[in-house]
Amino acid sequence: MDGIEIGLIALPVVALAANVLFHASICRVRAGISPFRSTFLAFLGGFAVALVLQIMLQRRSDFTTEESVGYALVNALTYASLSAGYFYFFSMIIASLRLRVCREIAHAPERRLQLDDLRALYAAEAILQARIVRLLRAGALVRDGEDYRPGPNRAILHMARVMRFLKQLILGRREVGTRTESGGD
Amino acid sequence: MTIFLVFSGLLIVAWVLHVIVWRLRPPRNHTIGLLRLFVLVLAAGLVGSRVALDMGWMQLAHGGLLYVATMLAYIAFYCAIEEDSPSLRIIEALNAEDGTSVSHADLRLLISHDGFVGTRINLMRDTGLLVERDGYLNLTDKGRRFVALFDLPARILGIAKGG
Repeated sequence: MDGIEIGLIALPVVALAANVLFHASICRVRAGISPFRSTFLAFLGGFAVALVLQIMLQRRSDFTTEESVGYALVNALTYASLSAGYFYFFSMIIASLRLRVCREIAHAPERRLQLDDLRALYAAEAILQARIVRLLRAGALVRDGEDYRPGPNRAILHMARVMRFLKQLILGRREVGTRTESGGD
Repeated sequence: MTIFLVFSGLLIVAWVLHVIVWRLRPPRNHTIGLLRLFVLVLAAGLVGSRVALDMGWMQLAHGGLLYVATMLAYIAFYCAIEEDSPSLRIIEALNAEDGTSVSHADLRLLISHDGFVGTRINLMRDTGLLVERDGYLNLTDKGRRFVALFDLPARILGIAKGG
């Protein structure tokens, strides 16, 4: 039984490894695919691997139905959490301003930069443009002549509302909006 | 089922404690504070589960993995709660008045202040990624490791990077 238990503990980690491999393959095969779509497809691939392994291990065991459901719930939640962690890591590669600043310095001729050089590289207009392009591509906003209006994809709006709610709940109303000028990572 | 119930319960307890502590007296460094609080609850939970519920080591390891994975995912997610994302601000501004268009200039006002890059650089200095010498910003060893950590997967995945 120990072998099966070890297998069950390792299962979410194996599924995450499959998720990462699927993701690397998808990004390589379909360059330019939306980051959300590629991570979601890879998540599904890893989930399928987890499901197959879970069924195989449980067939070899003598678990009761309650135990089987319990292990399945633990592994599903663990895999979802590990995948979420990987998603945040991947998001940082794409969108982290901190990482970009470090990289600019690392690749500068003398491996150093003045603050004004960085400010020139990351003017607010350039940062805004990068976000608008991403949001247009995601369908979260659409052009209306010279202006913009909400797009058909409401997922990011729902995410913004959840974040606002959590910010109010955890940090309190006084904190909401106090760090807005710094922007996200 | 016991593992699921016990460790989900511990996660809920840790999260509720986190909300209470943050409302009453938020720590100076939120990430370290979160890590300490969650680890403290985990340690108490492991001891309690072993003593009171007589859980075996395998069960504790299984539950511990669930707890640690969820804890790390939440800490990463919390960084997004802590600081507003400009993308989310743009979307909220667009949806503030239903059906109304927003001009580029209005969106520009949302993130127009110097704090955008300046705040990041201050934070990077505080966390030891950068150091200022003779008016120049230089990467520390930690900063170089930070770049390397993300550069390798970016190369493997063949994706555009940063900012």
